Amino acid sequence: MGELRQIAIYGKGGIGKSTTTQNLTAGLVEHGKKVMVVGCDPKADSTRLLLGGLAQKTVLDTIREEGEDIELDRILKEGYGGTRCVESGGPEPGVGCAGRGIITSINMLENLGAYTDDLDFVFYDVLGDVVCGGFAMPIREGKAKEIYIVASGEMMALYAANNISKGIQRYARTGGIRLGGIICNSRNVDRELDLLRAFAKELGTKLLYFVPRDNVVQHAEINKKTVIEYKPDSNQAQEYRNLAQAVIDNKDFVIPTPMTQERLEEILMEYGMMELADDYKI
Amino acid sequence: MAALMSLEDSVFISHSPQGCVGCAIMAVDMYRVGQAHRGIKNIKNPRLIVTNLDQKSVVFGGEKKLKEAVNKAVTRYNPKLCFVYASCASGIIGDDIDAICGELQKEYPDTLIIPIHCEGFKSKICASGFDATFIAINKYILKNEKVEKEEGLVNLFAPTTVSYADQKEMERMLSLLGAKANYIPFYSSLEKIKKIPAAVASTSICKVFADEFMNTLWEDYGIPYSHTVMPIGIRNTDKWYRGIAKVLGKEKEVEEIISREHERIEPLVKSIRNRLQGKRVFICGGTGRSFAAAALIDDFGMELVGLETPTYDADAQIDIEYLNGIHKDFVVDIANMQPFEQVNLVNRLKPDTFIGVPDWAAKLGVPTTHVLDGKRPTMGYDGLLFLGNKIADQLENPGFNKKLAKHVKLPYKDSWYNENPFKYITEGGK
Repeated sequence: MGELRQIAIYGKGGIGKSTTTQNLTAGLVEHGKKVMVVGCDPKADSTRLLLGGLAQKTVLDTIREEGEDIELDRILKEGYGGTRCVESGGPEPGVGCAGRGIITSINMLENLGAYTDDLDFVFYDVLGDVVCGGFAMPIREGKAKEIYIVASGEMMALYAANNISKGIQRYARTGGIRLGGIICNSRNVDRELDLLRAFAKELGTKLLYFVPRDNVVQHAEINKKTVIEYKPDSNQAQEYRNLAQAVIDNKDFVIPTPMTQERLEEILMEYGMMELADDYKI
Repeated sequence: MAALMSLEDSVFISHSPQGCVGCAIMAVDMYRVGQAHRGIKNIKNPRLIVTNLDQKSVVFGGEKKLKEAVNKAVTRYNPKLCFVYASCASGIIGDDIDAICGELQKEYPDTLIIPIHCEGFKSKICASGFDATFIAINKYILKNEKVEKEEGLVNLFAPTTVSYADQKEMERMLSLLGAKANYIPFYSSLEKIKKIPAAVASTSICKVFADEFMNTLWEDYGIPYSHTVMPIGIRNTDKWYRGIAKVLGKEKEVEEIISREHERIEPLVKSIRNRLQGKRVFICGGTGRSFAAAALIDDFGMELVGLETPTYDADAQIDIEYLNGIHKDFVVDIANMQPFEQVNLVNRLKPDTFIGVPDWAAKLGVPTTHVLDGKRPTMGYDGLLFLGNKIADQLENPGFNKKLAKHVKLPYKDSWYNENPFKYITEGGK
């Protein structure tokens, strides 16, 4: 057991942050690591695969219904391989302030002593973009020190990743927060690997791992399991184990250098467009 | 909230954390004293409810608390008016106070429920809060309805800090012109507010109070208005008086009245001048009041050495140029909440007296006279006499300030008093 590593996962909405985080977590568990996953999304679906369903009452629902005087086990459930799962949750759609909700629940976790000494990793799975101060909470005040951005070769995913890097850059100046790399959750677009490598380089970081696309992920999701639990012998399970190893071994942490919109589009033009520009088969 | 607190039959709901109503205590004090001056026997406190937005309300939305507050307000007090004030917190989380008020309005047809959008971060200038209030009054109470005109009725808008004696003086002056004042919004009522469109003219006692609203009244109801200066000092009082008289078409009459008034007060002003002649004075107040007070000291033959104003604009420049013509050399400090500049300046200039808001200067041992206390007269011809005597009395009896300075130390290092007062002003906001 080494020092606790707190990691925040960001990326465009729908890119596969939660899926990647949970499969990565399962991989870490196989390496004998003790992991806590904190879902920071009002939809509260960040721990579904580890818990085998939306079995979790969120921190904010608990606070709303039972007040702030609660025990840790009311909001922390044990999932696959002894992982600890927490969902921050949020207000009803359209009211209140979800960002403030994240701040409230992370403070609550601290007060209740959720960060125990035996933990190796804490993951914060944060919704979409860093839209406001609340959603930057996991990377503020010395919480997560490492960030990984999940992206794919699609324009909007890279655009979001670049924007998130601006947020990281801001907090890197005052805190110790660093970007650990880009994780590609492949969408099978043209020259995706090259594009992601070039994009990561421009950001001053690296492509940590390229997770290929495989339908087994969908099957596992339908079965409310991580791929490692659902089909331990599949290629995809091995990919996630490799990703886990890459995270464990990673020593490159940087302050990202976000690019201008023009530069981002240049890179896309360079790698995203092939000579076969008219072949739209997916 | 300060703008409306003295309205009859009203309840005020602040949709905010409770700290936001901390400052209401000042307005409550004014309201209670104001009632006493008006001879009200059973002095009331304003009915004020705060929804107490806390961390939980911010996360989950505060709409439920607001509904509860309105329910309580109506069932407890059965008011004619229920004002709902937004706050920074409710504004950021986007609580829909308009929709809630609209919904509850159907439930409580006998109480007019009025949302006011006065989120604090919208403006740095307190007058914007008054503007927001008047916008709400226009939208929810007046509603662009045409009412029958009332001969000689004049809307007289006045900020909180105008005392009852000042109100009476203004009303007296208007009555000499054959006009009847509809004094808004202090100590008025729903009926009086509804009468606003019935007026034939509007004027305001303060330069930055209700100026937007008077313009709206002109556009929506065709009510002409006079927007001049604060009637402090002979010159400004004349100017203010002529302004409203012109709107009422009484230019000739007002000249006669003015000369009669001058004749009446001149010997009295002269006796004050004998006591104040040549005294050096530093002035600080609200924008309108600073300049108005600066003009007033001319009546008493005093010498202006420094002037502090919170804002500066084209209007202010006109005033400064006027003052340049009377006083040789004075410092202008444009400072919105920079008392450190003021204490340095006052200490440096060593004026004989200080007129304005004396929170800091009083502790430097300078005899101070308050012009913004909202309880004593400062305006019109009679107010001038009161104020002049007050300044003179203070100057001749400086014991209080001297003792205060001996026992109270301002929180600045001695070295600060030797620094350039404008040391911290850098070019281009660097």
